[in-house]
Amino acid sequence: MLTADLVGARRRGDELRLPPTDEARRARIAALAEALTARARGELGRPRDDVEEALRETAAAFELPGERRLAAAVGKLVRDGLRFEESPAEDAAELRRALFKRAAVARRAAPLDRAVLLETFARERGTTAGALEAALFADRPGAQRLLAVEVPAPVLLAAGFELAEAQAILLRAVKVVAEIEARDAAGYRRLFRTLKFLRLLPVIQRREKRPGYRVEMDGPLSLFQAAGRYGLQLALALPVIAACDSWTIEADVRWGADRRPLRFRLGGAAADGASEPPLPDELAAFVAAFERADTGWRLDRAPAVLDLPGAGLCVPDLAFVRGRDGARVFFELLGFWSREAVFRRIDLVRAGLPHKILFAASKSLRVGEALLDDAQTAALYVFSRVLAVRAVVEHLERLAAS
Amino acid sequence: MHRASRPYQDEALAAWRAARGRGVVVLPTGAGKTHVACLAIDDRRRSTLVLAPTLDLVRQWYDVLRATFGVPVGVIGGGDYGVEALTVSTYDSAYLHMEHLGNKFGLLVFDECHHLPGPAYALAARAAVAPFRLGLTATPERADGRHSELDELCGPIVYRKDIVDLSGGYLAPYETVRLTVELGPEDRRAHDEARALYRDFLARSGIRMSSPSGWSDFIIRASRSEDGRRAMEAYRRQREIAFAAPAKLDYVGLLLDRHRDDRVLLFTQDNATAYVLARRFLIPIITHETRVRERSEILAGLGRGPEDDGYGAVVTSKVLNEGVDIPEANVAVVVSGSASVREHVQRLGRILRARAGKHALLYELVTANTAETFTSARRRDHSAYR
Repeated sequence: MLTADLVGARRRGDELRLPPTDEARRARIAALAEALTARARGELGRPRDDVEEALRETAAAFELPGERRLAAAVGKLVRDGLRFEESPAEDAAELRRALFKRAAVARRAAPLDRAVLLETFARERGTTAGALEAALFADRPGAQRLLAVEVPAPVLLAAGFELAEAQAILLRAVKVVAEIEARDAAGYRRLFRTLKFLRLLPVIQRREKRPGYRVEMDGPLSLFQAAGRYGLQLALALPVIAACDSWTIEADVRWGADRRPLRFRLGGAAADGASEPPLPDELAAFVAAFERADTGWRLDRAPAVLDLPGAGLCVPDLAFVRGRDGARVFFELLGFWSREAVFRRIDLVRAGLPHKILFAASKSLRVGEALLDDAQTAALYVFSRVLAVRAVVEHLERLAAS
Repeated sequence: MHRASRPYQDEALAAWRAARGRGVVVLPTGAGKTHVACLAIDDRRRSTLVLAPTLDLVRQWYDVLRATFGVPVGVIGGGDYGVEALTVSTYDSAYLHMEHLGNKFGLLVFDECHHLPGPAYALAARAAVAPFRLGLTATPERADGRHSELDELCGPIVYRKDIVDLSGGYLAPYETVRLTVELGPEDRRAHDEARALYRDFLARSGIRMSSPSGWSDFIIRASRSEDGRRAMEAYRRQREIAFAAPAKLDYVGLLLDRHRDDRVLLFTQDNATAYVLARRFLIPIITHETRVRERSEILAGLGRGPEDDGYGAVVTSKVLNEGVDIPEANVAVVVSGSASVREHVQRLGRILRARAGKHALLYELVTANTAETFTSARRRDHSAYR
């Protein structure tokens, strides 16, 4: 993913604009990507240091005057597609310090006998000379070897470049509003579930007079903490928004060194790249445990989007269906970044959401189950570390009986 | 400003003043260029932006300016963005922010100003309105000939002293020794085969490496075919053999033993050779990926020496070429390097800071009958090596 400093956006009045993406620019991006990818392929099996040097050389050879930022941005996207081996984490720095100091003292006394020194040092540490040598620079990223080049084809990378720049701009957003229209319900569900999977804080409303939805999200600069991680999640949502049949985004951003408030707009028709998101980890673990247990309930993994006109939208993660009578209860895992999502759902229930639903929220959000004690069709389950099958089933039975 | 100046520092300031506050001062490493800049800042008393090529140098400037002037000093770069009447920035950050910085300063100080004529940095210098400009460098000349642009960007060279002018007085006396080593028969064969393959590709592709665009042409052509990729691989192979010839490494061992009571800096052209040396001789290494804490510990350890829980030698590739101050180092071994005169002079400069009784010694190891012979001749084209 690009970072904000790699984006060649310019200010025009109160707006932030990307350079026009014409054929000539796309061709240059594709040419740079092709050269860098080809060079990376030639470096397969070599250490990261060599690969980096090779890419730097290639960028310098190919970039034209005034293209420094563009070449750096294409280089970043190419680097994102390189897979290196992983280094084991060892306390290598401490080992080096101790061994090299010992060697310095030994060399001062007499010509260094490397093998003897290593053997002695290793014995003192209860290891072997071979293991010692292997651990000596185990923390060094530059030595990791290039295992695979998984960069999109240059023409695809060029086609997606504008979106990549827009993603980087969203890292500087205070608020983002997306207007979207999808071909079918599956398209909406995919988007809404992705937003949930990314743990964003969307307020989703059906548009008046026109088909489609308006999705409002906080930007990372509106948060007090974890803004970097949240920004990354927000940026990851953009390709899914761009996969809708028609879409626009309007973002309030703070741009440049002086964090000037500007408005950024982008829109288009369906692009490739969206796929059904997986379940969040804690929910996936719960589903696996639930399916192993004998509860009398079965799971529906693709429940409908619940819409309460004028009040908002709820996107359940799952629905549970009781085997003996077909009673149906929706289930949504809430929040991550703030308690706001919990209170929004409570407002939705109080506004008359006509479905039985169980919400689950982590104890870390500091909310209590009593918040929904007076509701007939909804309940709140507060869990401490993992979602417990037994507790969920107890809530389901109570809601089914109400 | 309380520190006494050396006569040539006063002369440099006078020459810069006479040029109406625009110009380049050329002084060898260790001769106190920073102090000349402080004199110039004190002389003009205008808001000043100091530009340096690396974060290490930015930190050093920050410390010096704080200690010298006792006022808050702004820093731009490495995640910081603070602007004060006295501000230090990397060239990169200044380039990115110049549209906001360009009208804020009356004096610009370009440290290691030979970087300035690059297309991006030059643009940043042009976007600034500062009437007063001081460039500092030990080696203004650039291989691409663009040092002539310094006149427009910063001003002409107004004062110059080279290593030979100050050696034995303000710089340590020194000696340079060039040692030629031979490849063994197997390495010779592998080297010659790889070199023939690479040169054959150049000949077939009509690429002349002596032309200014020769290297770029080779990279572009090499990326376009399997043949080209093999030529690039062969180019690297013959270079690696020359850089880390076994006889060369044996010689490094002899030099480390011979200079066991000295403080030795080993320089290589690439990180791979630096790591080979670190492993083989069990000496600390500094590269771009060495964390700041470990790097500071290694440099402090070299200062103390083995007798005081430190080190006698450190190996590095290029990161210590510029600006880092290691007064205790008195022996440098250039195991491999580029053809750059500047790099070679800077490496020599690392051991020249004067200390009582210090005599500096620079060894250059060259593998016979390889491209290194030519590379070595080119990088020694400087008065310091004659």
